[in-house]
Amino acid sequence: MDSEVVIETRNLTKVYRDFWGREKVRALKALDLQIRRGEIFGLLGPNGSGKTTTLKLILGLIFPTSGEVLVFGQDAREVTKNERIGYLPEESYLYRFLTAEETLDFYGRLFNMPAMLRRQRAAELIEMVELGWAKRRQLREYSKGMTRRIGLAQALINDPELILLDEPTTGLDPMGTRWMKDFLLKLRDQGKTILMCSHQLEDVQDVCDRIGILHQGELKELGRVSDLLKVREMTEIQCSGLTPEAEREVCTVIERLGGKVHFCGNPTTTLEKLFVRIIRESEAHPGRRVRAGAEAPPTTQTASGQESQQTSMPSPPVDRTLSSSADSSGKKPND
Amino acid sequence: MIVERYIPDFWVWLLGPGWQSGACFPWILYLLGTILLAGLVWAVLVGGGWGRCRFPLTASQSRRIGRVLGYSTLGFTFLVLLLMGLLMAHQAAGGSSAPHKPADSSAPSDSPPIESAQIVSVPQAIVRWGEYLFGPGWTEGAFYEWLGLVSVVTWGVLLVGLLAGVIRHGPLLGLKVVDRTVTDLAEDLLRLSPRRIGALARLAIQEALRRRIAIGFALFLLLMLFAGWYLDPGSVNPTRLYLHFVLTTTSYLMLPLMLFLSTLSLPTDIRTKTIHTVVTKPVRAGEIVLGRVLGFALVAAGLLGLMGLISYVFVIRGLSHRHEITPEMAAEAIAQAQSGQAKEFGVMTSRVHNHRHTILWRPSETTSSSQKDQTPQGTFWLAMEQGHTHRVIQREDGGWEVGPPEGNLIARVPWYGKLRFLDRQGQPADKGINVGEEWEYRSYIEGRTGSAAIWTFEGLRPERFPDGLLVEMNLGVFRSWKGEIEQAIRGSLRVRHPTTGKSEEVFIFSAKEFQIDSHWIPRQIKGLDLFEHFVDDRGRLEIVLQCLDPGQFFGVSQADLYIRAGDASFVANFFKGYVGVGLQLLVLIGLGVAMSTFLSGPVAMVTTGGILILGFFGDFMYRLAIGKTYGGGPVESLIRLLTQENVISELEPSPRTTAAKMLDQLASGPLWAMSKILPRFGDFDCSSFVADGFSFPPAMLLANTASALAFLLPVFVLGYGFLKAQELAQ
Repeated sequence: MDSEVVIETRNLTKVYRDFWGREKVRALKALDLQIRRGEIFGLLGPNGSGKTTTLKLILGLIFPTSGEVLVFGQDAREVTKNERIGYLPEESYLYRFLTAEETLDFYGRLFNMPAMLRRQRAAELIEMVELGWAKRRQLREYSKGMTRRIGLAQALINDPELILLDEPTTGLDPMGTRWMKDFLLKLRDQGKTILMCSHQLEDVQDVCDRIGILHQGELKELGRVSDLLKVREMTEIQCSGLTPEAEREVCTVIERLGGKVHFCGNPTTTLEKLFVRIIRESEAHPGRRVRAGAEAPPTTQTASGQESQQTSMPSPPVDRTLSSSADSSGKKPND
Repeated sequence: MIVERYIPDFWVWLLGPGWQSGACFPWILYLLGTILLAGLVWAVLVGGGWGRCRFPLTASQSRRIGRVLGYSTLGFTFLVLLLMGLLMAHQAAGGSSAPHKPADSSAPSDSPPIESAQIVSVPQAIVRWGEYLFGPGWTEGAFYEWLGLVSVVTWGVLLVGLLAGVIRHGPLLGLKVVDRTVTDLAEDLLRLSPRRIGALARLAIQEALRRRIAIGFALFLLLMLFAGWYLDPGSVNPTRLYLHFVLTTTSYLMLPLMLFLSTLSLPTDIRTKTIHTVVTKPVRAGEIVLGRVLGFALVAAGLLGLMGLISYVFVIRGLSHRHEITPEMAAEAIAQAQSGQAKEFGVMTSRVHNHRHTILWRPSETTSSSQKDQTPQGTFWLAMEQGHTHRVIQREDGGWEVGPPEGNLIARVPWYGKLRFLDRQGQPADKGINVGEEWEYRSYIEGRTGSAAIWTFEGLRPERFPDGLLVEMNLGVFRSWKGEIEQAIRGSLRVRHPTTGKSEEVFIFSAKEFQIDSHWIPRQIKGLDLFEHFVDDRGRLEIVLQCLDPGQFFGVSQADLYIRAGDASFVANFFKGYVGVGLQLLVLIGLGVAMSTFLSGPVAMVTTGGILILGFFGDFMYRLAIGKTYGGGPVESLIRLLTQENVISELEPSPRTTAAKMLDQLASGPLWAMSKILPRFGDFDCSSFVADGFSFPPAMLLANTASALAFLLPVFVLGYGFLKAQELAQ
């Protein structure tokens, strides 16, 4: 196995059977998948497509009917591989009678971490997830967002190389979702590999490098987000500082050159970005009402062609969904 | 008090009666023990990653070691099974499994001598070599029985697993699954981490505390607060009543509490999926099982300690009382003392807790001439009543004060002998007379006949008993109209040299029923030294009991007469009672956690609770399986119940009776297996020792502890196997 491949499944099949051994559900059918080091991989699919089953097979929580799963070159059921992974389950299944400090201390002990290192790491993580003010309260008193954050902290207690996340943004408000996505990108930049399962397509699109789409246990699509989402038949040009006359002239030039203008007008941002921007500006200037249409600084293009989202600054209005909505001033785009 | 299970020596119980006479056993034992200890330390250091002692074992190395260990264990257990099978065949063919040479070399050996030139069968050779290695009676040891049972269970589970694997996956893949299981098991056991086990134990403790386990303790406190209203300190034996109450209450509260905790914890984790965040860490299934058992055991120990302390204070305060000696009583007693009358004055103290004491006078040993005309010097003492007495102290103002009760909270150290009987003609008999009582614990000897009960004591030394022997008896009495039915039955006790037969009557007594009667056998008996004339060079002495009144009977059992070798600490004995409860809880916790690895919470609770109840009837199940109970087996008993037949007479021959007996025959095998495999919870209980004022022998405590641990080991392996094989996220 290539050392760059962190997770590999070979002909992985999972069939759920009843007590008498009769086949009930064929959850996965001959899945072949490779996840490379340092990437964020998104596993998508509708309900019942086999996403969570795949995750559980990788974690060793269930056993394959046939095929194999290798994590860091070891069989998924090897306990030693768990020393290098972190797992955030869908609902942050944690012991509700423990406090945040006790939770991280407990999981740190499971990694045989010495006491000093454990305390230090727990303090860092609590600070990182911004739960210092609630660290001595039992988890039963936490809100959903707080529970997710402490769940993430326990997944990172051992500074893992591979992090598996099941619906990481479920139940989070837009600010929390933004925070989570920024954090995942930061982890990726540190060289960690992340596998996430999610229904939230926008979140996957924002953070994932590669995605796989499952349907009824089969892998239907696999590839880089940027490649898969590219609409090759269209060309997008974004610019600013054009007068209406200049806009008309540009459209004329395009038509003269044989192109067809589907849409020309102001693009729209996403509701999430608007929300985040307003909240941040409100926090920065309490009491002042923020106008929804206020201008924002332009985005910067990274070398990979993806937009770089800055956590401390409001997001620019960028419409990445050309086929989704009608502009109030421009033409309606064709599908 | 029944001491059917009395264990005088732990090593004899563990390794058989002849273990010390094994030719090379001690050296094998030391060598194996050293290798085992070194291996264990190495395994923990290596596998557990303990600090800087970690050696870099690669995954393939640890798997190889695991495979070797796993298959070696299987091979060893297979050899044990083979050995067991050969020995059982040898026994069935009429040979004795391990002829036990009794201590008395004058008694004939059970088996005829085998000459060296004679051809011996394989089983006979095994028996001889076994005797050479381990000493005679080597198969009687508890350790070998345990080894045999574990081997049977191991291979039983392995074969069932192999069959299931072959059916499900096919022969090759099925074998591969079994190979993986065996290798994983051994490797996982090697890599158990004390720190992770400690973390999981700590979690279990936190879970127990935050799930309000203190409520159980609060209930106990409540019971203690109000129990005093209902327990009568004026009853015949209040000490026994109080001690039995506190120990039984503790046991009855703690057993259900620990049953709930141990069976519901893991299934709750699996149901709420919190276990997912644990098993996705480098935690092994064995650590989860061990951590929970350890955690709950510590909770139980903590609660037991607290309950023990509170119970002790409750008993002391409940039994505490003082009588009054008024100035008039004291004056009368002193006046009688001046007149030089007998010790027992007939003056009684005030009545407290439904009893009084007779005031006794003990003169001091020396009286100076100047004191002859003054008040006689001495001390007042109160006669024993309800098993206790009091000290009487003179106050500064000349009054008398009665101290707290003494002698009621004791822990006798009994020295038991072996009992045999003589019949009416004075000839040796297997047992005494059956007077028609249903409970055959006691056999009877008839008065004014040659009938006698003889106890042979061993190991008596003058250094140990310089003043003589304090003999205590708790005899049963059967009266018939042939004699004087309304008078106390008289008996005699004599001592006898076991070899020369020289005997001397020591005393005649009137039997006291339902209480312990104490008598001294003095060092000098009619001018003869007890140890010089009646005890042989191996420390053996015979005490012969006979009934003197014609037509009356004494009922005796082995434990009914003993030499009181001294008194142990009551406090230590009291807490031994709690250790007994603790061992019950430990076994219950281990069982509960193991059951909960593959059963849902309520089902695990019911199953474990059922095993707990069956465990209290283990002895009955065994007697039922070997046909030593009245009324036949389960099916025959059911027929008797429904047809209202008594348990003594035989059922009428009929196809129904034949079918019932056949079914009982079929059931006897599983019953026997269950009685051997299931833990006998009743055996761990030593509350009757504490309540009756007997020291719980250290050998028995060791044996009980060894039994508990011996049961926990295979239970842990089973629990580990089930948890490992389970798909926790299914």
